[in-house]
Amino acid sequence: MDMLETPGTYDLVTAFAALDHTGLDEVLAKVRSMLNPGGVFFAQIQLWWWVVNTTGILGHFPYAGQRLALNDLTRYFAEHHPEHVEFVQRRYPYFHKGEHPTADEWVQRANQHGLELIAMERMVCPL
Amino acid sequence: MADHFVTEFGHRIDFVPGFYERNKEYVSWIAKTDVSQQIKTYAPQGRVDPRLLFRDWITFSAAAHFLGRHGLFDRQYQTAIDLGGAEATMMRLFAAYGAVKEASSVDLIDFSAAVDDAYFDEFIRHLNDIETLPLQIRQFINHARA
Repeated sequence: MDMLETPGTYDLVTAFAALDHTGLDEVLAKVRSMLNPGGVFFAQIQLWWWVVNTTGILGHFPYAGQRLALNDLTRYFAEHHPEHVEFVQRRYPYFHKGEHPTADEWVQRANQHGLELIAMERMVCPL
Repeated sequence: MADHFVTEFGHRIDFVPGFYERNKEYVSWIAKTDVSQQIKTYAPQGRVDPRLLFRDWITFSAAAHFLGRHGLFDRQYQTAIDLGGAEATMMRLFAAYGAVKEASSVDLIDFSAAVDDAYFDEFIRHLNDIETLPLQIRQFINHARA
């Protein structure tokens, strides 16, 4: 079942690296509607802004996907990894349907949907 | 091979020797990963690979530790749902540790049969019987519990 169609309300809603592919506003609105009063939403989110993120876009220097606009990124891959050009163009809009929110922007958007931040912690992949 | 890239704005970005080579194995794993396929491939006899269960347990442990530090783990939630929990492992763990009474999961594909109750119970028993686990995992758990 699509999580956006899930019926019912809950005291605890969790999501472990499972929201990346959704529209940020639509999923936050859905989560808010799923929470009972005083309910808790725990999300482990992955960010576009990691040095090597789950889009799988990797260059010869850190943050290739984040440092280059899509035009440059496509040209960079065409020059150095032409076999990956299609992959990069497909994966670039992976996070939240083309939005690349930072952690702080994630929180701001959650606030706009009536969710209040209790705590946030940043974890770094040991790469 | 070139050692730098010049953007359309004229900015020069130098390549970092070894960066691509150090990370390409991880990235190629992502590029090839279709989670649904991964679960199927790694599921002998329809059951999920114990390495994936162990990965979920580590993720759960980090979450439980985080929630606990903010007074949010021991609330004994009456109802809970995990979004994207195809194998329903996370909510089983929440329930197994007494944090949740009525646990459910939702995902596009239901893979909960890949972690049936007997298999999950066996996994929990192994975690609690630390001496039966491989040395590396014992060291990890001992470190995490310290």
